[in-house]
Amino acid sequence: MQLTTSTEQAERPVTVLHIDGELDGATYEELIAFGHQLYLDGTRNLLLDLRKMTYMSSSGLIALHTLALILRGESLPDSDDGWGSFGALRNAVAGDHVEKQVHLKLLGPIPQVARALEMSGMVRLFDIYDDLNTAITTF
Amino acid sequence: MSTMDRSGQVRVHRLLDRNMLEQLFGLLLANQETHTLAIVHPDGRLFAGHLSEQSVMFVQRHLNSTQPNERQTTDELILQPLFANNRIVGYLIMRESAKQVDLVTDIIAHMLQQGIEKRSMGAETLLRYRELNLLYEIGETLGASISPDEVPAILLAAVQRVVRSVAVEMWTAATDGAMFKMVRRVGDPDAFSELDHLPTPTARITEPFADAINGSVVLTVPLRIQERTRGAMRLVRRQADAIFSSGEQKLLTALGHQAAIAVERGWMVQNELAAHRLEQELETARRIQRSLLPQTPPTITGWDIAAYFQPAQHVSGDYYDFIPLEENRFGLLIADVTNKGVPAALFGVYTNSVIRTNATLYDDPAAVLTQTNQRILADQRSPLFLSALYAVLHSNNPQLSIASAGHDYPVWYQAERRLSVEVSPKGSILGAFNDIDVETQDIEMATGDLLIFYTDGITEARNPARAFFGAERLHAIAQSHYERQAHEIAAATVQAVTDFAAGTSQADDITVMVIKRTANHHPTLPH
Repeated sequence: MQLTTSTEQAERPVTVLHIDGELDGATYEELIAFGHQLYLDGTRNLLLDLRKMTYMSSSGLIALHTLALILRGESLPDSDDGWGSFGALRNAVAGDHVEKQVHLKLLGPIPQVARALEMSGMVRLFDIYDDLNTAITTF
Repeated sequence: MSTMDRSGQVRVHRLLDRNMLEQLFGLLLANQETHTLAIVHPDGRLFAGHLSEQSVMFVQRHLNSTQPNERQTTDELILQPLFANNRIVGYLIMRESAKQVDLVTDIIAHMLQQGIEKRSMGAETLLRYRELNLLYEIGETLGASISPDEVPAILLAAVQRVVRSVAVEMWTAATDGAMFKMVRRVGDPDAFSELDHLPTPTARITEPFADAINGSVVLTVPLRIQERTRGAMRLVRRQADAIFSSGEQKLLTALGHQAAIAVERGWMVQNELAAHRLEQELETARRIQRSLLPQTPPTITGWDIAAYFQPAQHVSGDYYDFIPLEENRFGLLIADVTNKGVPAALFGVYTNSVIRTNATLYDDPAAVLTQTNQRILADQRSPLFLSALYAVLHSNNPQLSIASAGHDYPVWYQAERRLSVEVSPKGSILGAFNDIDVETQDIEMATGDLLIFYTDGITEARNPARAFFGAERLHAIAQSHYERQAHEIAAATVQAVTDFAAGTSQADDITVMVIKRTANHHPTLPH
């Protein structure tokens, strides 16, 4: 899996994170770490470009969910902290209602990935767009 | 190792063959009109040749007071200093009037030189022999050791035997790729501070190099095998004799090579031991997990049920369960934890017990999953998610109620219409959302109908061309095997996936459950 970025400007700057290749058990942590670093470097609006993501396993769902937490400004727990803190943060994503995330959106998932997003319910969290320019303007 | 004797003084008798000299002098003396032709030690004592007593006393007295380093003529005697390695090893004494002083001097000088070379070659050969012997010995000792802990002591003891230093230390790592640590240090503790001045050596060092520190020299030598540096050794010498010769560096490199081999071998042995232990633990975990799964499907009147389960690794994130409920009702569960391996398996055991509990508390499958989701969120045990399909059926009742939490849509083959459809109940995965928005769907199963529950290890199995097995192939299997028994259909499904994968390794857990409606209203009707 290759990760690259570009920047677009809408009302506010948007970082586009291009995912090339497969997102699975071996690579999902890398995506999380990369996204975390982007946030630390100042990214506050992130569009995940999935047009070249050829496969996503269930581990990808964890990555997407965690990136949503990160972009909401929740700091990642220490791994030594144990899993308990993840759960506490998880509740924060949905609050009382599951809402579409304002700071993290998805672009162009291939059919297999779109199906997985649909079945798992992740579509409830993320707006999905087919077109880059349209996506940018919504931030 | 050198031609010097203990007093540091080279002696003529080690360099020149006296018998040959006597013969030479005999010839020369026969041609001279003199009896004065000799070689004396630096203190004037006669070594070879002939000197009158008077001359002997004169020469000795003279040399006691002065040691000329150039030809000197005194009292009709020529005293020609003889040099070896820039030191005076003796004097050639001849009459001033003697002919061919220069020729004789040259001959003696030549013989001296040959003597020195022979001696030094001999010493050189002896040295090489000793070094080879030592390397062989060290190689054997290191070769016999398999514990990496033994290597530093063996190496440093060998180094101290062959190369002079005031202190020496060895660096290596416990595993491949880890940073080096200093593992042993011997010698004069006063010299240790020089060693402490230097930065940690790294695997990028490929050749020996020296640093000058506080009047000392520290030589760093990598422990190399082929193109890999597995550690380093450092030696300290005080300034007075600080240079490490290229011969010494070569010898140290050779010793380092032996040590690197032993270090690498030690890593391999430890890795194998660790892998073996891990293998055993995982095998135990696999047996435990297997034993937690239902061993046989329930016998439910009017239904034929079978399940098949094959983890990708030792332990699985997939699981299934048959849950006996009251009043002839049964719960059927299939679930898939995100990720794989031990954490997923443990989360699976935990969620399975939550679902079982809720299955006995709530009749409605959607309620079971909703309550399970609440419990998982409240307990906060794990960052993982879980998809699950939970169905409740009745013996003797063709209706089946099913709810899904983000799970793969089951295949429903309708026998009479010869039609295979997808059942797509609404609901999100467990553990990610506060509200999974799940709905129970009721299905009326006719005789001969079958349902296939599965996990994505089946639909996402890949062949060598990287194509997916997909859901369509599952529908095709239902189509062609629907008349068979549930366990045959389950086996055929797994076989189809295995054939499709054609040797590529199994990437994900494979789990399938087949539920076949065998009769309506007539519980004992054979099928």
